[in-house]
Amino acid sequence: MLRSLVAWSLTYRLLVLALMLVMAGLGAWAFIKLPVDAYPDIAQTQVKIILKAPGMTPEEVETRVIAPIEMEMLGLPRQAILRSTAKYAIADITIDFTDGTDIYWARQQVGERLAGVMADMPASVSGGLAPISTPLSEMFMFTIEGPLSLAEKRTLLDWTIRPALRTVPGVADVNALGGHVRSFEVRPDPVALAAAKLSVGDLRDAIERGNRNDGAGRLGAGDEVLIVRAVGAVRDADDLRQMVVTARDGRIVRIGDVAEVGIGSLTRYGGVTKNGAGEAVEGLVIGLRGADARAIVDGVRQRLGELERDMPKGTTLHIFYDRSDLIERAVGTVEEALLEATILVVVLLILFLGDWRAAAIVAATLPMAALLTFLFMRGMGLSANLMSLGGLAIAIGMLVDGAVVVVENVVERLGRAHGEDAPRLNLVFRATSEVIVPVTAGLIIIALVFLPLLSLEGLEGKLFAPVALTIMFALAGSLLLALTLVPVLASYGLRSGDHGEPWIMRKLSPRYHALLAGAFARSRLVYGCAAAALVVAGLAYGAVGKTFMPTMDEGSVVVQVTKLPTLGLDRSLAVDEAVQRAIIKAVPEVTNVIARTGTDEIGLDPMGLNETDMFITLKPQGEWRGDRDFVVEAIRKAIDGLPGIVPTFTQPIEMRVSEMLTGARGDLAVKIFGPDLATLADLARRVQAVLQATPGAAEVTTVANDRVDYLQLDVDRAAAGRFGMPVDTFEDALRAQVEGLPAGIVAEGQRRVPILIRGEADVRNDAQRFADLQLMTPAGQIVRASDLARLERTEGPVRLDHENGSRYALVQAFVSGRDLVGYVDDARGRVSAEVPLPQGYSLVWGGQFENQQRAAARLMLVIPVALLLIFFVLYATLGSLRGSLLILANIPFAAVGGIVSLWISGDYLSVPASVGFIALLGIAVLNGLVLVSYFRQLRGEGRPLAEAVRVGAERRLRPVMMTASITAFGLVPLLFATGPGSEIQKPLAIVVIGGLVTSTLLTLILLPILYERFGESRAEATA
Amino acid sequence: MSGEGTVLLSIACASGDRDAIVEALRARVRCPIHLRAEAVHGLDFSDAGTAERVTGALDRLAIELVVPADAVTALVEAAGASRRRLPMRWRVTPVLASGRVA
Repeated sequence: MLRSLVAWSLTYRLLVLALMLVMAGLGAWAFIKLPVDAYPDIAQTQVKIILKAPGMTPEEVETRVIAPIEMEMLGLPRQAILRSTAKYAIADITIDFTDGTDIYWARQQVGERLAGVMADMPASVSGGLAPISTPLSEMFMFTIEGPLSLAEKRTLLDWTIRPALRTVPGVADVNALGGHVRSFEVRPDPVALAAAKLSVGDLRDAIERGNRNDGAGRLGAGDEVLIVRAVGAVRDADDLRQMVVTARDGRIVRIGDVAEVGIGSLTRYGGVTKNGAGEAVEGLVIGLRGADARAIVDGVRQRLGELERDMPKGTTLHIFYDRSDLIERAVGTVEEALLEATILVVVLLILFLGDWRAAAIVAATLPMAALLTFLFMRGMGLSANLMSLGGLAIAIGMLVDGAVVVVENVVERLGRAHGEDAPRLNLVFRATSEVIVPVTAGLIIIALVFLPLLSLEGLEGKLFAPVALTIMFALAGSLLLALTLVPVLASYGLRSGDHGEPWIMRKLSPRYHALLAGAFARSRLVYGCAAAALVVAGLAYGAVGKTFMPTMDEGSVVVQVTKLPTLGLDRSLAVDEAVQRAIIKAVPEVTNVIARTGTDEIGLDPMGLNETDMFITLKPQGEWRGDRDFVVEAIRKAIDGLPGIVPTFTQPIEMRVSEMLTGARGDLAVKIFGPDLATLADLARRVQAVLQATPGAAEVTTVANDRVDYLQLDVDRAAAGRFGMPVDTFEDALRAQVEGLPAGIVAEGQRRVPILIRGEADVRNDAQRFADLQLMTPAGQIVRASDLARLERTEGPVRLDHENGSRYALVQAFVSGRDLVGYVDDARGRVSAEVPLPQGYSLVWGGQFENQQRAAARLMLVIPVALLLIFFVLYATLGSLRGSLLILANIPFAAVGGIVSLWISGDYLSVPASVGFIALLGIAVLNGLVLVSYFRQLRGEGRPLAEAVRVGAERRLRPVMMTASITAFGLVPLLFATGPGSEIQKPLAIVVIGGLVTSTLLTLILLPILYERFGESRAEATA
Repeated sequence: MSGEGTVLLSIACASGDRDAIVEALRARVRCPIHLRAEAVHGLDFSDAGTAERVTGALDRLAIELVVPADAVTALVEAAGASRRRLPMRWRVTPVLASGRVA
């Protein structure tokens, strides 16, 4: 079949060229149309339920909101994990489904069950499923600048910008943060209300009933009809004031008589501050899962440009985070590496082939293979990102392998064809046909080694599956080109006749001849050196640190600031501003600091009032005084002396990825499961102390011990009963005073402004006045809050976390200057020695560390399977058990250089480095195959074994050197790349380049010696 | 048994030209026309099509018919004038004797 393909291509050469041009065009189109993002889609199928429970404490949220929902959600089909967090007024429930579950199906399952349980929720609880987003969804952030007040800015964002941006294709939602949400505020006068014998509930009922426009149908008017419309909706504050609450004894009581009506704002659960210069209003564009990030950002930019023209005078938008910056830099890093690698590969081809025409033909396959890969990628729905394009960069040296072998053989054939009158096409066909099997087998072997990556699970699977798929697509494309385009171009472009050996081979061949002769003469020394190399590799493996993934520089820094949990919002924002001023003053690299405190509008990131995410944007890297670590250290130093804050450092995407995976932020997340809050808090404190004392800990935090102050009203049932005040009415009345009671909306054109009944500000800010609050009982009596309940100040938890229905306390650790696995091993030993767990309590080590462990376990299982498959391919190609085993024996020696180079470079053994070892394995096997198959060919021609291995090794020097050096030099640009994403590709390049040095050396020296000694059975050797 | 004055006309042509040549011959003679597929591995590729040049193997067709010697010229001319794609070769061999055994 493959021969027929070659024959067909050479028969219809012009058609093949035309088809290739069409394919190139389609490939270019596919590249332009490919969805582009910095990362592949790493999100698992996750459904989030965000519920707001105004005024509820974390314990109430846990008991009344989370517990019933968890009961309903546990046992959902295909559910992987159920996590929930109860915070003040917020219930955050996250359900992870197994990989491959359709998100819409999952949402339907959750939605159906949620609908059933929502009826049992307290009346004030609102919310539902969060938008379909992923940790990569936060694509665009901006603040509104100008002379408008915070309330006006927020109104502009809520009612003009947000609806406009939601229509941009791919936008899931626009989150609004900061400012004041305008509301009509009805502030009852407790005395007046009591005098009128009215309760807050009466007030709310009156507002709700008295605020409606409606139609009454059609009324006949002669031949025509009139449409009847009853207008009773509230239009403004004055309308509200005039609204009658009750009529008693011929007197009417209006709202204005018992309450003050004005413009206020909804209770704030968070705020935004900017550059230490006060509060700001921020918009955050959330992209839909799987949408093209670049297209979204372009669409949003265009829409904002249109909106900005119609904004009030002096109002502008300040964009401080734009995903396209990262995308361009990440993709640019890979594109640059690809271009540089292509140039290096072409230079090497000219050097080794000594014929610019041959080099040009091989080089032509590079862009073609890339374009074919883009076509495959589009067909498979892969996006262009630093992982998939990185796969192409890794494969660049391997892409030309097939073409090199074909062209080299054609050159050699044409060189020998002097005097032969076979048509040129026939010579090219015969030359290509001769190498079809090794070329195909070689490319299949390389593709096979990448198969294990497709079996990886979790984050590593989602990150590296695109790498493996891209490489496989590229290899398939290069094989197709090697069998079609390359022979066609060779038939047109290559000249007949002997060109002589190229310069580099004239230099290398005699030296290799001498080296090989010496090695055969001192085979024991060679064995000894090989064994010593293996020992060094073993030592290096022990010494090299192990981690999951290098950290990618996203170009932005996020400082997560945790303050005292008892702080109010205003004070918390003031602390943020102080932190911002300190950073801007001390770190000249910083351009902007925008801080989000508390909970956002949608509730995707529910933080407490004492928690802040500070987005720091930096000047271009060229203007920095040092590297990123230097800048982070400078920021750390700048805020080090500020009292009452605990900062941790991360990056926008990194932060969200950590949260998605474990529900926690940090390299290591230790979860302590158990029933009792006090015991959990104590254990968390002790574990935190041990982790902090373990070398390598940068920041170790836990919120398990954080407490907030409560003013607890312990209802006196007898007193409440005596005054005729049911407990729920009492609690509703209290909430109305502090949190506020929603009482409908006022429609102002498109805007919907809520009406809120709430207490006076001085009651809300004074515990004593709150205790003296006069309340009207249903029985018509007036009582003080303190008459019905015993008031005491207590403490309660800041948040409560559950996983699969069990409570846990979380301790998070960020590791710096040490490998993660080493740190965790150390910390585990210390924790088990110093923190004994009581009965019923357990400890789970998770975070990035968990991913590393899972990836390592999976690779340990799958790589042997891949090796077995490779063995089958080798055996099918060579038909020799000994030959196949000898080639496989080459693999440990290839690993020697990889692990030693990793050790020398100081890099860690991470998942990318493991991918490097996998690639190395393929190249090592391929080189072994090139050599052993030639030994066997020479033996088949009747040469003695000793001569066959010596002559064979010398003749195969060129292809072995070419394959190895082209692959290695193809990766050199990744070694020196500095842009985002280079951190991931660098360890891979180190391993492959280092490994290729030892692998090539050992293939060329040790393998011939081993083959002579073990390659054939005694019977074969003497035959 | 007789064969006096008759010859075996063998025409070697490309397989693709079979119908055109056979039709041209049929228009001239009523004798049986024998067709035989042949694979020719040779070094003379001047008659070969592109596909045959590539593979080095020529897919030929041998057309044989026993005709009077004086008809050969007209038959070769007719075959040559047919709608062929590739060159053809022909040769004439005298038939010394022929017959049929029931």
